[in-house]
Amino acid sequence: MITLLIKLKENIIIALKALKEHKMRSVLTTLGIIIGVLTVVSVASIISGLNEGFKDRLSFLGSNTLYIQKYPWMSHGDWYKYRNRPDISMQNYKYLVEHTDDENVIIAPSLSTRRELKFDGDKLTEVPINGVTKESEIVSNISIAEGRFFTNLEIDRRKNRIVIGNTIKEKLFENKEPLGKRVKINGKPFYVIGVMEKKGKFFGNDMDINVYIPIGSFFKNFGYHRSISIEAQVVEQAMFEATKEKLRYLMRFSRGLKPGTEDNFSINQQETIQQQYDSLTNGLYTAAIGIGTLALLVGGIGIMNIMLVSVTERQKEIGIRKAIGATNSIISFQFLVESVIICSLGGIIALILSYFVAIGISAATPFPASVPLWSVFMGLGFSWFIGIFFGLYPAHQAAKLDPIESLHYE
Amino acid sequence: MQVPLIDLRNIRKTYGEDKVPVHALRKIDLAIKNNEYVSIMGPSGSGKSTLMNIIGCLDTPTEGQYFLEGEEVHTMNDNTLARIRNRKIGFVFQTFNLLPRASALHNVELPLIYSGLPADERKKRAEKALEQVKLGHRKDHNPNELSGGQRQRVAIARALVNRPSLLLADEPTGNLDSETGEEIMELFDILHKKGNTILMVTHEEHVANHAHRIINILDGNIAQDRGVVKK
Repeated sequence: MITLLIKLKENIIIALKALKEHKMRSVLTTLGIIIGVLTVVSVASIISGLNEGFKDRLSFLGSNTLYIQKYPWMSHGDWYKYRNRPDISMQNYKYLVEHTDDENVIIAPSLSTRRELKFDGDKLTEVPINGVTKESEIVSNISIAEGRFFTNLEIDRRKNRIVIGNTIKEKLFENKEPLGKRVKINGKPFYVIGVMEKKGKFFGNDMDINVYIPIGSFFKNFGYHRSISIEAQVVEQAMFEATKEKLRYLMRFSRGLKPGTEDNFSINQQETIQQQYDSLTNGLYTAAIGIGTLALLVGGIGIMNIMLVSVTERQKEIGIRKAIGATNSIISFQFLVESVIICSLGGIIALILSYFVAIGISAATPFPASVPLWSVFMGLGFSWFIGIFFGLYPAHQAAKLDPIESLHYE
Repeated sequence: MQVPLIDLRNIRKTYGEDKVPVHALRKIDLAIKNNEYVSIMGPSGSGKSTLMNIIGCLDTPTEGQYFLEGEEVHTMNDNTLARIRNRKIGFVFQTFNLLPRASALHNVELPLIYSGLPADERKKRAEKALEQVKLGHRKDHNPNELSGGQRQRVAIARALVNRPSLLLADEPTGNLDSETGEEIMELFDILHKKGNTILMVTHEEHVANHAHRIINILDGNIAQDRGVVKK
């Protein structure tokens, strides 16, 4: 064992020396490996970044929440069909609330639009305004940092009260106390009663720019002809599918749909996005692995070629080593180590490059890319595998050289 | 009775058996004892190199038996032969055969690497071997920075470093001028006096005369085996 380690160490030194003599050749040889590993690791880092962002977004959507809406989240063409559906109305919402039990499912209507928000001569444009009810605090997962959320009375009486996101506080109020202040939307005054906790960014979108007003106030100020979204949070995860079916049934009943006809509404859920997302990232992985494998294959053939050249060039050296007592397996080991080192070199260069790629992507796009640890090991593993696989044949060629002939090789 | 160091019995070597067979060695019987100093002479094509390769365990005979210190070399596989070369035989070649891009010290260390000696002990022994051939001061030089005579002395140090039973020299002075060649031969004389067994292939009479016994090979047979009368 100890002698094997000594030999391994010596072989690594020999290999590094040989690489130093042919710097340019070594780098060119590793190009295929670099491209292959770089492709796979870069895509892995992009996807892991996407995954991280996506998980946040999805947890924000809530895995046990159903969204009853006019349009499905993921549709395949046929947009007209969906456009001709009747709007989801407050009547639908009220019907669902009346026929379900609070202990099983919490239902809230939701509406949103983008408007200009003014305060004291300053203004913010394109602010997402959301119409909510008391239940939205739970269903939409709204946490209040300062002040309070709406009371039932404020909701019922359609009061012009507003709860704002943290960004609104920073930008419009320049971090001064916003509670009790009056902001204007469409010239209508709204009193600030609460500020939400900071949520951060998602895919470059600021999640703290939202504001909330009572849904009645929303209709009163921005018009009644709108399709709402009904959000239903299922309390018991186990009851999720059953509740979904019940809501579907109730929706159909409230709309008087005959049996056998299609639903004229969609019940959306996080899983739909998750599925779509998974199929997208799986496609990306497949493509990356395909390109990466191809590049690694080409790289591997390059390695084999250069190793064969190296065996011929160093035939005399092989002869000398054999005469002095190197066994066939030691010679073969020496060339295998060299091949693995060339490939590792390529792998390491690729990993360094992919680190910069990840930084570049993070800086240039909203995707938070990072190099995941597993992809580092995978990259190194790939390059070792290529080094061993494509090094075996040249190493075998070196080992079986005749010592006498090799000694006389010039 | 003492077991001879080298014991060749009925050794034959034939090349290209399936096509036109070339009989390099026809029937060689030869015994060499410990601490002998033997020269093998013969014209080119006589088979002396083949004999040398077989004795050096670089090649195996087509027929016959070869005992080295009582061990049956003719039955050994490649790996065992490599170990025998490593432990029992020290080669000195006409063209020196040093690794060109390694220091003198590393060249001398090489056999010890293959016997699996730890680095510090390796270095100590290699340095000692270089001092023995009076090159201790040049241990960090690469072969291209050394003269021909110095290179051959590095090669001799490499051959000696693993304390082999047999020193095999193939035309050791062939690539050297006569003066340097004479220096190398003096070194061999000293090594012999210290107890080494030396077997040397040469075609130069005055080089062969350093030995105590001269064997002439002709057409694959031993033509003459005589002692040298020292003046």
